[in-house]
Amino acid sequence: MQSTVLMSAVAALALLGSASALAETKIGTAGPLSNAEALFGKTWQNGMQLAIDEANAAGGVGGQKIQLVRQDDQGDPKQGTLIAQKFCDDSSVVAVIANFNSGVTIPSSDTYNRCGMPQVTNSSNPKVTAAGYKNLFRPMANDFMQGAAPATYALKTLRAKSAAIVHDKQAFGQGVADVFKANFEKGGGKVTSYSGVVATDVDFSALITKIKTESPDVVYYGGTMPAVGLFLKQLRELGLKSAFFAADSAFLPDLITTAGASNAEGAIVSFQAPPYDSSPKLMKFAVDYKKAFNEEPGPYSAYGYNQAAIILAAMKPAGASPTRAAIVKELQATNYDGLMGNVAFDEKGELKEPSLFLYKVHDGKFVLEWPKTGS
Amino acid sequence: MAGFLLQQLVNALTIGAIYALIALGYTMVYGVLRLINFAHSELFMLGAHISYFLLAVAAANAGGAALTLVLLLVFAATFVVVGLIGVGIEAAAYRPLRGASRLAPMLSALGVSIVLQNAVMLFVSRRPLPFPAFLPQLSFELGGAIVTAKQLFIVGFSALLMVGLTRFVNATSFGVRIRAVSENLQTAQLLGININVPISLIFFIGAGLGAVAGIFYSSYYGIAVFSMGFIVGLKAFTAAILGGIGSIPGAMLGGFALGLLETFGTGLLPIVSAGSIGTEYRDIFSFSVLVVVLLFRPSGLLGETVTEEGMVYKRDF
Repeated sequence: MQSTVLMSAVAALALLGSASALAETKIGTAGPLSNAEALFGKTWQNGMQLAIDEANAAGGVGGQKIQLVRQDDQGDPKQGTLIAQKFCDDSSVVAVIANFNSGVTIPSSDTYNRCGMPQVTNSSNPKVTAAGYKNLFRPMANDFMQGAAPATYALKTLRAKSAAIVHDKQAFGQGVADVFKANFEKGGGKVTSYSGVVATDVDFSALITKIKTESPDVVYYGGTMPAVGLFLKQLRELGLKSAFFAADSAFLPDLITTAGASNAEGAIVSFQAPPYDSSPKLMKFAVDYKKAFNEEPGPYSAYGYNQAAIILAAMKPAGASPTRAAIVKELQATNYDGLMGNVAFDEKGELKEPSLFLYKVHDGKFVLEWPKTGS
Repeated sequence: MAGFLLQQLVNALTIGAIYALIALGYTMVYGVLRLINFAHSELFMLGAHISYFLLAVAAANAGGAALTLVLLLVFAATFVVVGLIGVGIEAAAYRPLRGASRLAPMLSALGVSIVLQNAVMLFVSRRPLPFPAFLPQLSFELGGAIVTAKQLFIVGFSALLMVGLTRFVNATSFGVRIRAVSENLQTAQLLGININVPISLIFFIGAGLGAVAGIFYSSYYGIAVFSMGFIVGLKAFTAAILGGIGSIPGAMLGGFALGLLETFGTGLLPIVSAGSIGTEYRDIFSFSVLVVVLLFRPSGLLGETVTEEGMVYKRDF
C-alpha cells in the first residue's frame, strides 16, 4: 500500500516536472566540446549561458524561463546534422545557436531551414550564407574580411612581395586561404605556392622544405588546431623566418604551447573580437563571466553572449509563447546594441558592420597588432 | 637544390627511423604467428601517453645532469611497461586462439585495438596533449640543410636499437629460439623448445620498440593524441610489407625506404607536375606502394620467396 502511495507521489512529481519542463522555452546550441577546439566550444557556450542566466534572473522573457540545451557536435558534420534534426523535432526549441565550424554549419543549415528554425551561427566561411536561407544569421565578420585583412596588412605594413599559402582542404581552411590568395594577388603580391595538406596530419617537413626553396616573405596557413601549431613549430625548426599568418581558429593558447613560445613569437592571427580590456562593456562582461564560471572568458565567449542576447531580444515582442517564424521575423529586423558594436543584418543574414582584428604573439601571449587604436 | 635534397633526406631519415621501429613489431609477430597484429599501432600510441606522464613526473623531480639519466629511465620504463602490456595482450587475446583459423586472431587484434584506443580516449584525453620537448632545442646547418639535435637523437637511438635487436636475434640463445620458432612452430616444439617463451619475448620486444617509436614521434612533433596510432600504424605496416613481412632487416629497410619515398614524393611531385599533383597526396604515395608491392612482389624487398613446399610447412601453425 505504502509503495503505491509512494509510486503515485513519484508519478505526480514526474508529471509536475515534465509539465514545468514543457512550459520552458529552449534555445539549442551545438559546437565542438571534445576535440582540439573544445576550449572554443565550451567558453563560447558559457557566453550564451551567461546571457540567458542574466535574462532569467531578470524574470525571463514574457514571464518564461529560458533554458539553454548544450550539445557536442565534435566538429563533425554527421553529428551536427543529427543534432539539428533533434532540435527540429523538439517543439520547445524555438531557436538555435549553431554551429561553430563552417564545415558543420553548411549541412546543418539545410536541416534547420526545413523546419524554419531561427539559426544564429558562429561560422565564418562565405558559403555558409550562400544558400540564401532567410532563417540564418551571422552576427560576425565572414572570411571575406578575415582573409582580406591579413593580406592588406602583409602588403602595406610588412611590404611583403611574395606569399606561400597552405590550407587543410576543409571548408573553413581552404575558404579563408582562397580569400587571402585573391586579395594578396589583387594587391600586387606574388603567390609562390598554394598547397593542401591533410587536416589531421602532423608531419609537414617535406612541404616546408619545399616552401623554403621559394623563400616567401609571408606564409599563410588556413586550417585548424592542432595542425596550425605543429606547422608553425616545424616551419621555425626548419629555419624559415617568413612572417606567419593564421586565421581565427588558431586564436588559442594551445597554439603557443604546441609550437613553443619561441617558435610562436611574431606569428599573426586574425580574430573577430577586440581584447577584453578594450571597452567598458567588454571589461564588465569579462568580470561577470569570471564571476559566473570561475575562469577567464574564452576567445568566443563575447560572441556567444552576443548571439544569445540577439535571440532573447527577438523573443521579447512575441511574449510568453514565441514561435520560430516570429523570431525569424524579429531577427531580420534586429537593431541591437551589442557587446562589440551595433548588430544589424543585411538581406543575406550577414552582419552589416563587421569588425576584424589582427593579434601578434609576443612573449607567449596574443597582443593586439591591428588596428592600433580601438575599433 | 642540393640543400633542398639534403634537407628532405634528413626529414625522410627521421620519419623513416620511426616507421622502421614500429614495422619491426609487425614483422616479428608475423614471422612467428603469421598474424597481423592490428593492436600494435595502439602500443605505439600507449608508449607516447605513458611517457607523457612519466616525463611530467621526471621533469618535476630532476634537473641538470640528473635529467639525462632520468630520461633514459623514462625510456626504459616505458619500454618495459608497454612491453608487458604487449605480452599481456598476446596471452589474453591471441594465445587462446592459436589453433583457430587465421581470421580469428586477426579479428581479436582489431578488437584489442579498438578497446585500447577508446580506453585512452575516455580515461586520458580526447584533446591532443602538448608533448614536452625534453631534448635541447639545438640545431645546426649542414650544406644548406638544418639538422636538429632531436633528429640526430631519433635516428641515432633507433639505429642503436636496431643493431641491438639484430645482435640479440643472431647471437644469443634466446635469439636462436626465436628464429627456430619463426622457422617452424611445430618442429621447434618437437625439439623441446617451450614456444611460449620466445613468443612472449617477441611481443615484449616488438611492443617496447613500438613504444619507443611513440616517444620519438610525440617529442618530434610535440603532440600525443589517442588516435595517433591509426595512420602511422598503417604506414609502418606498409613498410613491413615493403621490406618483406617476416624479415627483421626487411622491416628496417622498408621503414627507411617508405620514409624516403613519402618525403621525396611529397616534396618533388608538386615541382615535377607543376602543381597539378599537390602535397595533399602524401598518404596516397605511401599506400600506392602497398598496392604495387602486393601486386608485383608480395614477398617484399628482402622477404623469403614462398615456395609451395614452404607453404606446406607454414600454412597452419
